[in-house]
Amino acid sequence: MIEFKVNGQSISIDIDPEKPLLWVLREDLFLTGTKYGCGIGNCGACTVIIDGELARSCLLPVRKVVGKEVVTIEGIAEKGNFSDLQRAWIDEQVPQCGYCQSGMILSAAVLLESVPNPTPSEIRKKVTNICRCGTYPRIEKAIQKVAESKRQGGDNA
Amino acid sequence: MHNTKEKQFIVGLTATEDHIGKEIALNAWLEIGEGNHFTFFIPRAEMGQGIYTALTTLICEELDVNPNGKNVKVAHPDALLGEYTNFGMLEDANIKVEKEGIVSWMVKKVFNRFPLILTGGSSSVIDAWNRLRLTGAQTRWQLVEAASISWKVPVKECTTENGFVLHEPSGRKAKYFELAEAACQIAPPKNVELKAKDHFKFIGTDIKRLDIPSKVDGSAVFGIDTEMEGMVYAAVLHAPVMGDTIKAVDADEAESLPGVMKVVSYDNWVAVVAESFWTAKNALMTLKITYNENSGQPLNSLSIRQKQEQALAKKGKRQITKKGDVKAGIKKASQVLKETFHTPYLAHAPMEPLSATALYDKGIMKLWQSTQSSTVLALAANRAAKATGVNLKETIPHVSMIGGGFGIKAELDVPFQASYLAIQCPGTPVKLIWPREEDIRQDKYRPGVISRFEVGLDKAGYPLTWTNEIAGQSILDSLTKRSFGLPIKTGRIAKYKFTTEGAEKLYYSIPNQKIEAEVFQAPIQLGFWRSVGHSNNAFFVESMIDICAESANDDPLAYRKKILTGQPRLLKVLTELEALSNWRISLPESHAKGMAIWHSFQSNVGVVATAIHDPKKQTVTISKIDCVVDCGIPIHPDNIKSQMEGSVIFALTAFYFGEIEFKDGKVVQSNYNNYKMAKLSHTPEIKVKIVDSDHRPGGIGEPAVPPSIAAMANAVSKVTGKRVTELPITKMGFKPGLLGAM
Repeated sequence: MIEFKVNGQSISIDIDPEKPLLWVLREDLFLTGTKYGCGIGNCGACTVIIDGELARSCLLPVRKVVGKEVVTIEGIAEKGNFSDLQRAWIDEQVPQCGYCQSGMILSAAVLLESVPNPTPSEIRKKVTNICRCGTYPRIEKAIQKVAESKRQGGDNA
Repeated sequence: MHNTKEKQFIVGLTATEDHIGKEIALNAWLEIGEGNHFTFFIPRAEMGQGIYTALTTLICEELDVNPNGKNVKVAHPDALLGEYTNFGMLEDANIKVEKEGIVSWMVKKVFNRFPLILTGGSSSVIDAWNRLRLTGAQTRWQLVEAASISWKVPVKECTTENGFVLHEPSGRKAKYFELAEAACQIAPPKNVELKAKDHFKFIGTDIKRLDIPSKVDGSAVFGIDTEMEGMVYAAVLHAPVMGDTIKAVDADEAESLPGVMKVVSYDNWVAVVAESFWTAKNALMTLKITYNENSGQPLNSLSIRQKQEQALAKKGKRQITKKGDVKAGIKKASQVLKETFHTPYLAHAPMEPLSATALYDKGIMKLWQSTQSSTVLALAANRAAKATGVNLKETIPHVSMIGGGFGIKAELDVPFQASYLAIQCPGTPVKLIWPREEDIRQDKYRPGVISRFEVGLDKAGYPLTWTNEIAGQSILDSLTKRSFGLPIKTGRIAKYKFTTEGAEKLYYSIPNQKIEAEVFQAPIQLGFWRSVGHSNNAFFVESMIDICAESANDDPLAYRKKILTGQPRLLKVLTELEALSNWRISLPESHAKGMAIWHSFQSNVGVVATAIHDPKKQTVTISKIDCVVDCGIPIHPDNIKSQMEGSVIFALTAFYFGEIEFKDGKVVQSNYNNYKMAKLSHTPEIKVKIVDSDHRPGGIGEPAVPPSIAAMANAVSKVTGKRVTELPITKMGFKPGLLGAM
């Protein structure tokens, strides 16, 4: 039995411990918001958050998350409402095809958690996921917008 | 009307409001449900271009319903109806069904029987502009008529407002839903007057895209996300050498692995069906496969280059354009300019790898795919039935959200393979996924092309003669051969169409022109890559025009203005571009601007790129893009901007990195680590200006790609002093630079 938490829920699953987390999430837990892009940890479509850190789940055997807390795109809404980042993503009309956006939003979430006030250069260095549609200008804008409102300490609830 | 309406792909602005209770179909495009809920059936695939929202807006404008209302949802219909045919695609072949006549009548008759439901060629809005506004207007007319009959009041006293019919004199008001049943019984007139542009309520405003909320919380269901009870997963591997087929497969080891169910091979591919995609993909690696080797010469990048050069050197190439007398003209020229350009083969590489799900049971095939065409799904199922000898009674094609298409997701092979596998596993849904390595190595590539120019300038420096010879593989020939077993005869203009696309008809006034093309055979499969032939020819033609301007000692923008004649829309784009980019303001050292304009997909786009050269590091960096677009009446301005930005990045990837190489018959690149993509750290500042226009809308998904590539090349040529004649930029000895992430 492999035991870990996903989006706050305890999971106990009888599965090959070598199966990558990506495929456990998608095929066994039906959390299809986490995407398969390259399978070599390059593109970032499979990005999840594990104990507060970013991880690319396509190469990560599920045994490595035993006892850990995994957050996927399905788990970042706050009490059923879109998070600040999700709302900024809608306001800036960021996604085109949308396939990479789960990974983008999670990468942005961890970036803002660790660097609440990122410089443009920090955003550009830290967000290394691929978007084939080219939504980068809007991703950058949406992240800056959330960072800005956090700086002003405004109530974003 | 048959609409199976499996609701899983429905999207709307809010996920909270469900459609419950009775629903009434007013026509093929619209259903109204209890509580005045509207479901629009949009038979075009949403791949990020915003088509669900754009087409819904067209109907809503005339229907008088707010497309951003909480009661509006969109679904891709499953029914293969004639009226869902994309007639806009035929305009490329100069067939306009809106013009009444025998050709139009026949075309409609044919496509009513064999609907061509296809999203591509930036044609969806071109197709829908009049048809869907008319549908909205006719439906509104029916609803108003129904109200006037029911209330026994004159039609002209009735008005509408956001889903309601009102009769102000008596204060009566009814939901469209309440009138829908009666409205269905009244035939609408063939023509209803459409609103003038200045009366638009929604067209031209920044309607929020209906699919976006589902794309920020993981709830959007892309084809690859199709999941259902009892599903099994398949991974596929193709013969790595192009043109080879599978001779035998030793699957003993694979079949002994836990979770593996079946190994199936056909033609040039073998698939493992297993309990998990991960298991299936791993099992592929254990197969011992022998191949029937094709008899051709071993293919490599050098041999392709030689084939291109041989084709170009051939006498008696296909003449595409002839104007004046080039031979006589060149004798009068004061300067003769010669240049040859090369482009590489390119893969589509959408973020969502190729995938299809099929369920075959008792003669019925259900398919789920993020495809650009439900017609192709039906065709693929028929092919699979034929190949396996089963009697297929019905195919139900579900078109799901596409995780990036760019032209690759209209191919027959993926749904054929899924159907073929499903027939081997009756009653069990099979989800096939191509590993990314297969996606890159078995793509239907944008062909690399060679283009040679000889241009004679007159005393004033203007082009007097223009000779352009172009050689490459024929895209259409490759497509018709693999899809229908029908090669195109040599000499037929269709064979050269996408090789010369955009180069065949210059909008610059040059009295003597000779444009010729040649195609050659190679076992590389080709397909439609965002902007197709234009992606090559804009780079060639607009680079050559820059060379002319340089030789004439003129400014590239001013020079273009002087040689454009009878092109008011492009001229306007140039003028706007000059202002937007501050063209005349000089830049610091090691910075330079370059520009290009291009007409494609019935839209006009001008781009100015700013490039920075670091001679020490040998890097070139595109730091800024100014883009002006005239795509006719702008339907959804923010989405037009979004498409321009995306096209610039798509062009930047091609410019910096894009190259598929061949070695020993195989493709060298395999994944994003060696087929690189531009990232946030490469992204230039992008400014977009939309020209307000009264023309019928053109496409927006593709037309900014060609001039972006060309403008980047012209900027780098200027800043480095070295003419960019080959792409990607690494071929010229430069490395792509990073922006703001040093």
